[in-house]
Amino acid sequence: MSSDEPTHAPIAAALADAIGEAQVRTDAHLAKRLSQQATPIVVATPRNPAAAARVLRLAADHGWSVLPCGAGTHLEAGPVLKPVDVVIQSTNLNQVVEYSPADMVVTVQSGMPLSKLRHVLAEHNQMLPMDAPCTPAATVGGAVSAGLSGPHRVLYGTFRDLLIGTRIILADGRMVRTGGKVVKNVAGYDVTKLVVGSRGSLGFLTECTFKLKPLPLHRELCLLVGKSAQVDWVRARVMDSPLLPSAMEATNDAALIQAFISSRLGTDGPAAEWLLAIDCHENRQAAAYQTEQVLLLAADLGMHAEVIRGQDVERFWARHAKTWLQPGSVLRVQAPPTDMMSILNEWTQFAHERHVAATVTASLPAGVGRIGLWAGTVDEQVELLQELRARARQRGAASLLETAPKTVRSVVPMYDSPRLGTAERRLQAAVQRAFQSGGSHFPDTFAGGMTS
Amino acid sequence: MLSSSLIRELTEIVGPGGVIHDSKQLAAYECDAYVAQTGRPAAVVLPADTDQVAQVVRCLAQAGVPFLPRGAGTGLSGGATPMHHEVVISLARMDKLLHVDFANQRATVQPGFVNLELTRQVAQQGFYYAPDPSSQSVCTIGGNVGENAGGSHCLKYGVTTNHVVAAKVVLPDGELVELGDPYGDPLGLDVLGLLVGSEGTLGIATEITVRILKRPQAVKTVMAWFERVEDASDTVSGIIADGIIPAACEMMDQLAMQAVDKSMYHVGYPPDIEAVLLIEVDGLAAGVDDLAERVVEVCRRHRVRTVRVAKDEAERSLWWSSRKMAFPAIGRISPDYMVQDGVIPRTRLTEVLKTIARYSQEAGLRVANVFHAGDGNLHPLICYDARIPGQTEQAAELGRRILELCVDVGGSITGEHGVGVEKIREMEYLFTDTELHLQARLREAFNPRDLCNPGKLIPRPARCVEVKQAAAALASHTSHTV
Repeated sequence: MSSDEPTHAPIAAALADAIGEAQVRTDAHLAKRLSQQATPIVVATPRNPAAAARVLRLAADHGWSVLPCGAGTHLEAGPVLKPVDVVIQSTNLNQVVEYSPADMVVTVQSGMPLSKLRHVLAEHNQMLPMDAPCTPAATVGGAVSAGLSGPHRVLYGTFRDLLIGTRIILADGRMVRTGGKVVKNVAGYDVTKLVVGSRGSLGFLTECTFKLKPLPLHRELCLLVGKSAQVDWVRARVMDSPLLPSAMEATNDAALIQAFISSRLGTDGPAAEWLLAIDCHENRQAAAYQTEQVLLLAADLGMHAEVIRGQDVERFWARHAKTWLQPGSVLRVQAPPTDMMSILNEWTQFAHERHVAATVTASLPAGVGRIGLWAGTVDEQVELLQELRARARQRGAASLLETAPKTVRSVVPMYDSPRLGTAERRLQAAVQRAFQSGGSHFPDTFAGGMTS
Repeated sequence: MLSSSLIRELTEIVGPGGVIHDSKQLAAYECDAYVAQTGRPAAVVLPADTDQVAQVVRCLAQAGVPFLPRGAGTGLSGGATPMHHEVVISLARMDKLLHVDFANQRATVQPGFVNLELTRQVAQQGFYYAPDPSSQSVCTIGGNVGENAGGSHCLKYGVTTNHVVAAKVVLPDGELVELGDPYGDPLGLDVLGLLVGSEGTLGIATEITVRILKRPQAVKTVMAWFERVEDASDTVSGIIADGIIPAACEMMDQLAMQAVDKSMYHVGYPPDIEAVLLIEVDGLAAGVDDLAERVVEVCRRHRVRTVRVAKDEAERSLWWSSRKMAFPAIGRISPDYMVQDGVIPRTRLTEVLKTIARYSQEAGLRVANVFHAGDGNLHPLICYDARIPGQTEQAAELGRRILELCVDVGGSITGEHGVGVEKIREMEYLFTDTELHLQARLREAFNPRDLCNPGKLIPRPARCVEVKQAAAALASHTSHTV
């Protein structure tokens, strides 16, 4: 920010003049959510990319700090921000730009809700296979910028694999395209990769082009219940087989286990420790074979197993996601699949000893695990998160604080990895600067950024 | 020529056999597989490990001598061609498989390790490395990283960037950096993602960690002959509309068929069909028969003349060889040929092929078409005779027209061969000045002195304008902060 600190009223007036009064509002509550600042934030919701460019040019000229944002459903993430003058929100940029089902490619404006996109694509039996826990309002651009991923990354990968092009407005108001609308493209640097998980630190995302997949021909999910060692044994056997799990998620989510297993078993006591969900998106014949093989593995170990199909599979994953949408702190760990169950066990035990209610879940073959802390004071959570992170680091694993209350994020750094050295951080900062020619005033690296 | 003191210094780092500066031996490094332009390197250095690469780069950076990395030299766009008397840093000696972790499905290789060799080394345990460029029996994984190489099976399994999870990289000033994370997602901005496909302009990868995949339990390969290209093209869309993603989906036109049938991989294509499709489905054995049947059914719905499933591995292998050897086979019907590498939205295939045929007639040069139909990646092979004055230029001009056509229908100038020196002019057709400036700035973030593979990938003028703009910005910034 420039030395003569602007107040929100003239900012709102200038923006209203540039893009229309109806597209500008002042939000004091948002200011408290985002940073420690007392002054309200001016929220601009441009109706087209040209208006968005005008907002950014004004900001650059006046030295306002700008935060790009989607629907604002995922703001409890990233480092706590320095004061923000303007939030530029994509929610009015919510149209399908181009959809060619036969090419399996769709281009949408960044403010389109993921839930709406799902319906558009389902009409043509296609999908964007990204199943991170999201509320219905969460936008495409926000999810990309936050780098969200869900259990089915095991088969489909992440936005890194699905996003093939974007349009971005740079800090000085100039528009650039990255990538393109064809699935294979090596012309120039792969700038699109930088956008995924960039948290609004590079510019304002107005458009995303995705590679799509066909909706599964058949849905069939195996649910196995047992001890941690049993789950890990099944994981190892499945990973060493030609089986094709679309997801292989291990969780100790008691409510989920209660809802899908215990009620059927007729028990209402404490649920079994671990649930392993092995999904299949192959055709009916292949799914039947996979189910048979998984049930044989379960029987070998004496694990309880059942199979659900069709709509029940959707219901299962929706219930799985629900746990992760409650307020709390979520720490992600990235580790070899062979280490994951033991890390999760250790984490669960730590949380238990500290009397903090916690749940863990992991996409085992991807080596991505999460712990959610749902209770505890700020101090308790901070102390526990640091302990969990230290344990992960001792095993050579990276960790990322995905979401947490502002008070927690102001103490616990976002990333930790034995491999993330100063040279890589310096390169990241240099890359970010490369996007900001001229007078740009975006908040510092990864400063909250565009959120879903 | 390099100074004798610099040659001595380089020799101290890599040993006496590791520096080539004899002019006869240097001739082998004048170009890669794109032969239309050549340049003599100042020297060739062959480091044996990461530390030697870093020392060599530091030494050259200090002396202000430009350099470029080189794998097997199979690149098709001149990315490894020393246009400015660069020192070529050949990674040929760094050809080790460093580590395989089967349980966690990762392998770490040195950059000179050959692509297909990785699959060979892990095959016993039922694994393979998915990216499969046609040159996979000789090309290196380091080169694949530089070009973001694709292949026939990337429709389902993705290209190199989808399989590289971490790398040790020597930056253009000699500093060593570790990028990416072997599991999960990059932490912070995905700098590794930017490096893959950067054609050796951002640094030199010296250790590369990749995913290895379990070999599919079963594969079925279908060959289908079509009298009209439209029907073949509609078949590809029809398969996908049916919810099937083939592992590969390749097409050849009549001229390519004729050429390859003259080679040892004789399939016996009829002379009166316009297109042959090679479609592969894979997965669990229990499911692939049904998938193959459905593919055959879609072919029948689109007026296929003949459609068959390969009866055994020998037949499948012949069909694939016929496809993969199509490039060199063109040499049997034309003294010279140029390979192009455009990408189009798959649904525009028929009209684009018609336009290419028209351009071909106008230029009086034959064009054979071989392509990855599933992802719209065309490889027009332009036949010409370099002995006829002016025909090389005519062929290049035809290639340029075809690439511009690809851009006009919403595609790209390269799907897997890279820009190198060959397509640098077309970059200006595809991107705006602002977009090229952004890419030039990204290069400067890694390679501020432009010593690492200068003049490749991004057209120079963008950089010149950029330097002026940067200077102006710096001046205004300085006055602002003072």
